[in-house]
Amino acid sequence: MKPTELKNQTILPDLSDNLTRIKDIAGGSSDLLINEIEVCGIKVALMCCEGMLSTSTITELILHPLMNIKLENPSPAALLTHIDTKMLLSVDRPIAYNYEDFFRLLNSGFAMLAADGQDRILAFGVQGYDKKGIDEPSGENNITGSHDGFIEVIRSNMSLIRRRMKSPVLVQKLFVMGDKSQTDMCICYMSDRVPSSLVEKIMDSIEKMDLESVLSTGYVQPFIEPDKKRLFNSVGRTERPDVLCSKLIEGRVAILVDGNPFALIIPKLWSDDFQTVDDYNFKPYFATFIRWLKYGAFLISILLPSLYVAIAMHHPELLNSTLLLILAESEQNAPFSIIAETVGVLLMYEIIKEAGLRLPKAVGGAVSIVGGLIIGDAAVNSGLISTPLLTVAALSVVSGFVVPDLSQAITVLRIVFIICGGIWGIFGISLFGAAVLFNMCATGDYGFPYTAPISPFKAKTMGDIAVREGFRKMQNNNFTVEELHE
Amino acid sequence: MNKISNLQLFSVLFSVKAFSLICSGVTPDASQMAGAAISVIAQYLLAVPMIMLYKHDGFSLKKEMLFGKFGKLLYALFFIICGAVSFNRLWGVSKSVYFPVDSSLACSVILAAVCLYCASMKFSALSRSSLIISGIFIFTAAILILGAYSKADLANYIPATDFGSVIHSAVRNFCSSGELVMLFILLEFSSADRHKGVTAFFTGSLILTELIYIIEITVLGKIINLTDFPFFTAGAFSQPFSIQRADSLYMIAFTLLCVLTVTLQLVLTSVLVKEIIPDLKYNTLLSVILMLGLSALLNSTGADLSPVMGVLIIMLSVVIPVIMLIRRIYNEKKTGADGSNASAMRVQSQN
Repeated sequence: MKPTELKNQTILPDLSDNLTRIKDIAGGSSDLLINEIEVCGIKVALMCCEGMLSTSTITELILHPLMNIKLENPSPAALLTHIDTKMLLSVDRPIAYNYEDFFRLLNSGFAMLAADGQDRILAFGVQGYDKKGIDEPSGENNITGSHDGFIEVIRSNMSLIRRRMKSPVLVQKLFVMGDKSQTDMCICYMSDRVPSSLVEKIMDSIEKMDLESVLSTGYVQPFIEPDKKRLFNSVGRTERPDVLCSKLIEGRVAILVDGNPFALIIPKLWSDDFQTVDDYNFKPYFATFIRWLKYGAFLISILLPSLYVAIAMHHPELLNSTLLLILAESEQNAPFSIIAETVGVLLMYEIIKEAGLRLPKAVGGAVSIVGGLIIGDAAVNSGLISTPLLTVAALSVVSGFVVPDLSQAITVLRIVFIICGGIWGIFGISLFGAAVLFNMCATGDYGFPYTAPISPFKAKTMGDIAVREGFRKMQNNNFTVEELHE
Repeated sequence: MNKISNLQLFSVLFSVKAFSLICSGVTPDASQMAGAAISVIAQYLLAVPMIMLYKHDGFSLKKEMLFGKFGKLLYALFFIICGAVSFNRLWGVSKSVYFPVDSSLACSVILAAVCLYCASMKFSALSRSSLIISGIFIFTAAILILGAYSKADLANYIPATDFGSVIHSAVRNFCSSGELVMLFILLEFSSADRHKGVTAFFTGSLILTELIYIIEITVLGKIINLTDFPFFTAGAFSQPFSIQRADSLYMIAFTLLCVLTVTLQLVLTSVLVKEIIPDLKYNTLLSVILMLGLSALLNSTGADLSPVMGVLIIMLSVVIPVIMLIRRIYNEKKTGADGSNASAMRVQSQN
């Protein structure tokens, strides 16, 4: 049965009918706990979902006060009104009038109180399910920034943001998506920095989702990033609350999904991938140096193997004699063509990486050793792969780690560039480069170009792109992404 | 098509100009330099009526094109010829400079496929890419200057004395510059203060032309007469680093500029073709096939389209805009006079 169908079914007033209906809908699910008791001589039922709430909390905050209620003229209506208006059993106290709301609240960890003869059920927010503690993010490590990251529980993530942004203009709106999963999602933005039209457009895109379940941010992303043909993501992702807050201040919109420790950020710019929290804690000159190092690493990771192949196969005149001799000497004994050799090495690396990622950590480490040291060393010693090629491939792969958010695009583009460089030399690399550049420049949703502020060029914002200005200069900037809107 | 900023207008046209300069087979000398300067200044003056035309409230080239669909057809034809000439330039360069592609035709077909893909993106992708590509070209030019600094010999520059050859060079330069026609169309999509983008383009164009000519003259000296493409030869002669050649950089810049130029011509042609025949499908593919076909024809027959291009440039960038401007001013005056007569009559009737 779809939750939307349950929406039209109002709560049955007769308690036994009501409980029968609830059990029917739940299909005899074992985690539905129903406790029928009498309060002031009135039959009530306290229901909860096992494992979703804290037993001590429900005993202390709900059961004890309930058993101590004394009414002069007890009636079911008077009992619920008394509990609702005169007792503060929890701070979050919604009321369910239909079975859709009832099950959503019940399965979210609320304690539900139904009384005989009443067509409403009181809910008490006493959630107390097991959750992972707030820990350092695994993918966005830093040295000098904060060390807490988002977790799987959306409310904890909302509180992590709120703790950093106490301003009332920070809006965090919860809503539910997914017919079956009934997943809580939250849209966050600074109301004084984001035009309401942008929030409306994003919400319109989300409402187009007709998924049965929303289990991670990846389910949502295609709906808020409508252009399918693009190589690069125009929606950002972070698991750090401090990063998210900095983006919110820049006038961006974030989306949190319950059950996933990542937040989506809209819009995303290409330059975002090169900025880290540490940049703003280091001295500006060092942060600028690191930033240019990252730009260089990005180019090396994509282009170095293809340039090696193109130069070795078609343009040896571009090398000086020493380099050319080293290259010729090492490649003359290799049994495969340079293009096959390069693609092979990189594919081998991808296989080892995947194996290392999916296996348990202890085994994963062993795979890396076997892959990296044994296979790599053996391949060179046996003459299957030349040493310069392995050096180039390793340098390219390591450079790719510098900008992990672009790793998907880098991995695929690197191989296509190698093929183009191997077939048509630098001409091929340039042609494919032009196609990638056009694709990149066409990327951008909701009117925010992905390549901004480089193109279209905005001089004002280059202070955090070409260099990293000091906070004294940045404090007067008041930059919002709206300035980049086209 | 989306609106483009003045900076994007500048970068699009600047890239097209850079491409034509890189592929130019003209042997530069002092007369060419003076002629090119006169040509650029003349083009700038001829752009004034275009800017004036666009300053009129509510002017839209799409709606008010002279001769309607026939006018649009002329522009589309011009851009097809420009595209064919661009492919021809690629053929020429690929014969002289080493391209690891089996034949020049294959080279053009691969480029056409990439341009077709690029043209399938929004026009904004083209305008944004142009800024990055012009940046890469400026970086390349800087490397060229760095390398040329030690190799250049100012004694190779002999000042022009023949006024006739200067004028001849100016006319020749003007008749091979399609940028003025592109400017007329692109102004339709550019934002306010169009004169800023136009002034920036012609200033940049003048500086770039003179800079490349002077580098070619001073670096190559007498060898210049023996080379088909002086830019590439000058690049090969002026290596900035002793241990590493920079030729690949010129090839990268050349290819990127070539893709941008052909894509622009393709986009403009397909937009015009779509307006002439709205129901036509695959108009971009059709346009690129026409360009490639014409290019192959030119290559096989060795025909020189410069006179045709010259006539078309004068007609499309001088005659048509001026007539449209006069028509617009006349219509506005007429409307103004009619309006004042009508109001005078209303006043009389009220009295």
